[in-house]
Amino acid sequence: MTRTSLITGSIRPFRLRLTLFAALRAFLAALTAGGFVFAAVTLGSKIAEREADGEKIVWFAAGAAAVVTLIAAFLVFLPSRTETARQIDALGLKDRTLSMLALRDYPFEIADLQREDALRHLGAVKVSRLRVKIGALSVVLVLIALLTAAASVLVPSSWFARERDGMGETWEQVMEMLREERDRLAEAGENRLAGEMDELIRELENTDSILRAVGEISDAEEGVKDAAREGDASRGAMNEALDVLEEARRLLLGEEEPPEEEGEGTEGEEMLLVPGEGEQGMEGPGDFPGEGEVPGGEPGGNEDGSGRGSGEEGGEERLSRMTEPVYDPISGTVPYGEVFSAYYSDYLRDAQNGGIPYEVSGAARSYFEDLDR
Amino acid sequence: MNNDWSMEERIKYFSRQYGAVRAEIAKDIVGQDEAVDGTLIAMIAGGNVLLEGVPGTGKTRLVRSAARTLDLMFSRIQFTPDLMPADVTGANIIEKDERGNNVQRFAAGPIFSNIVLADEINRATPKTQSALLEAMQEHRVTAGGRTWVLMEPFFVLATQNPIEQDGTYVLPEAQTDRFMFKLLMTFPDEAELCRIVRLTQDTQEERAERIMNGEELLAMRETAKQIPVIDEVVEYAARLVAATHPELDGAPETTKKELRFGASPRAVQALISGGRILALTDGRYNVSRDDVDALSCPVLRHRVKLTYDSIMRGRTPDEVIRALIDELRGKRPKTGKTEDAEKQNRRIFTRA
Repeated sequence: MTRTSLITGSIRPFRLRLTLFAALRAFLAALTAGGFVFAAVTLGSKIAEREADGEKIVWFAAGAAAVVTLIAAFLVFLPSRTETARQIDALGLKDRTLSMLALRDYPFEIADLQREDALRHLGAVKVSRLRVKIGALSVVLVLIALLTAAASVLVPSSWFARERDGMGETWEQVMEMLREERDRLAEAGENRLAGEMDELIRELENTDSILRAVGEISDAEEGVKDAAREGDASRGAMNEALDVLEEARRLLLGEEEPPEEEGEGTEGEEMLLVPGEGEQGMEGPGDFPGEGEVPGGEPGGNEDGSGRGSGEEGGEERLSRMTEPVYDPISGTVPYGEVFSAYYSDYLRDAQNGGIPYEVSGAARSYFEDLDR
Repeated sequence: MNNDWSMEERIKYFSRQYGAVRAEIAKDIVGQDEAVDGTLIAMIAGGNVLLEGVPGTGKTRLVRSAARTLDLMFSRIQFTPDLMPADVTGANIIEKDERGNNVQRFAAGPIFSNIVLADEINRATPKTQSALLEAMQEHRVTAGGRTWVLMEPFFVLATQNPIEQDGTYVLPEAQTDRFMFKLLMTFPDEAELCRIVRLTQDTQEERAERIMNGEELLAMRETAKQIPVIDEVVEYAARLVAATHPELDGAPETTKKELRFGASPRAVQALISGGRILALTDGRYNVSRDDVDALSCPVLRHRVKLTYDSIMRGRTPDEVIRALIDELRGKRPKTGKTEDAEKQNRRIFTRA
């Protein structure tokens, strides 16, 4: 047996034990990291209102953090030969093992004597005297991590619900309505409309402002109409989707539900019930104005000018007029409740495209905020 | 000691002789482990020793006993304020030869000896104290325009009294640095006092007998020099000495707060050379950091200077040195009542 192998062999049992300790310490570190990451992802998803607890992403993130930490910590804690010697010497060997390692290639008699002395003392030391050193802080951290992880699952999402301009309940109602509509459209095979609805839901989930939400609804309406125009959605489905969107906008703006109209009017008729309707030549409830015009818009009504027609026809009318602001030019007043969303949508688009000069951007923002108030 | 002996035989001889000398001195000195072991280690390493203790603690007796045991020439100089350098080194004198002519002759002073006991060294003027400097470091004396080489082995064992400081001259740093160890002769406890009385009732003479001679002592020194010191231990000793310097970057907080000046590089040399001998007396063939720790107080206590604030708070150099060791070793500093420094000093060379 060579001198080096003799020395290495003498400290091998100690090194194996220290490797085991390193693995244990690395496991604790991994548990700590995994626990904290689990808690962070779970709480993060709740704060972002994306219920992720119990889902794969949480376990994946926690597992990945634990594995990376396990490997890194093991490599850090893994004792070198010198470190092993140092730990053995701490058992009262007075640097004999360290010296033996350092002098293994020393060719003098004194080195042989030192080696024999060190091996003799090393043989008298039981491996079990090496004790794992786990700091109280490590144990406390593991416990905190595990408790935090458990608590993050138990914490109700409502703790993190957004205030949303003080309309929390209404907001939830709107979201629920939109989700139902999305599911209904998806079941009906109206995939494009369902997609529009889904996109709107996602946008609203990340929005705190009512103003912005109303703008997003207007964009969604455009998308719904585009889908119908391009033949990717049926008229009936479009109308229902538009109804839901309108209802959503109404709820968010805090408008009262419009009174029930009698007659056979289509949805298009309701849309045209605006202040000053008589002066625009409308013949009565449920009729389209025929030759009457709404400023900035195309005349509504069906072919015979009666204003009566199928929902599909009303939808067409609405399709062309939906985004046009409707107001009474005589009175000079603007029904902001109706035009606001369109204006705001335009404002948002221009603001995003840099279409509003910097000098007036602040004033424009204040303007819309005041209107909203 | 035979020149043909193997290293193992030399080391066995070293241990045997050390034990025998130690036992012989114990016939004259009761207790005082640090002082006895420290003196022997310094003599084997070729270092000088400063013994400090109140009167009657056996300082002079220890030196005389060591000289007898080692069969070395011994001279004693009682330092007083009117002592002149020539009284230490010697001087040229004019005398008549056989023909009646005046001739100049160098009359060697008491420094020309193997062991020089400089008793109460702090009572002489700095000028006279400095007469020892060259002898202590280079084992040479320049007097009367000539340089004389002192015989080997050569040691200066100086004593000083920590009390009665009136009329004394504090040793200059350059001189204290040349003492390998500063050893404290502590006041004996009650049991030791009784033993001292029994020991000295019959006679005041030393009882220690000759064990070996100067040549054998030099051979032991050569044996000790063969003990290997690994880098880790040297680095540890260097780190400890560097840690006593408050002006260095990264100096420990304890140092910045407690010390004005740190130890010189001679301190590292003393720690390592002393550590070799301590290892051999412990039956080891390697110097360990424990040896460095054990020697740190005797080596460093006279080489560091406490801040005025520390002095006012009653701190001792030993306490500060131990705190530094704890810091370097990553040990938790001791809390609560500080253990009496004297009791700790008794244990300084106690082996596990």
